[in-house]
Amino acid sequence: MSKPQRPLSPHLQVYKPQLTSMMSITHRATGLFLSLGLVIFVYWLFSLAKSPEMANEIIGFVQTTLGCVLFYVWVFAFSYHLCNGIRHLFWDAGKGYSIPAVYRSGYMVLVGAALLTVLVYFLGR
Amino acid sequence: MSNNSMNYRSDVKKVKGLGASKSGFGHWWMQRITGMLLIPCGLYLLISLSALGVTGASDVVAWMSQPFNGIITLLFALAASYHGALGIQVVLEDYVHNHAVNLTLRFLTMVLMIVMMMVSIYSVASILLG
Repeated sequence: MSKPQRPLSPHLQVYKPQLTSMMSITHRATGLFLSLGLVIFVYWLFSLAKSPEMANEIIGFVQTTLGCVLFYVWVFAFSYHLCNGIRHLFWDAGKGYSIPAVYRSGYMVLVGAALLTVLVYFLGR
Repeated sequence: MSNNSMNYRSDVKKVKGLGASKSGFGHWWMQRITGMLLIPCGLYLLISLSALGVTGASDVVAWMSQPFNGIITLLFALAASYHGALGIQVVLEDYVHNHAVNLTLRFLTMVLMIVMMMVSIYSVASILLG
């Protein structure tokens, strides 16, 4: 069977980026990023149980500039995925489907994720 | 057979309530169940650990040795591993169209999930039991 080089749906190249679509793909991207972080988290759990030196190395890395930036990006991704996950649960319950409601909940998720990240920052100081 | 819009589905399919994909509700449902579990567990872990003022591994081990903290940590690690594996499976189904590569990656995802669950149980149990 021949494979014609036709453009594939959903034809992203002709769409203007919108809050709704951008937040949808960000939910997926943060999910993948969090999965990577989870592997490190589980490895850290193992090191806590087996080798405190290794666990301290990981804690030490989070205290470097690069580690700190990565950590807070991860915390923001976590907060975003958590808040947007709650938004998804409301949709699953059949609520909040009107266009104004979708935009309102979208902005609430962005604000909520930012606030949660800031809260973690101040708790951790 | 009824004459309405669904009349190209066989009677058996209608009775069983299965579409072309045959399965998927269980996947969808577990994604939600684990998601709902992760909201309180994740928030508790995030807030507690950031408020702990961690300077070294011993602080975290002392915190995790308390049964409630240890159990919540384990619940989080297990639910998150499952939730993550289910999510990655959907991403693979959407973007990896080569069937052999798709199946291989999904298999590896499941293996990694099982290993992560076993390591989590072992680690938290070791800390809890001293």
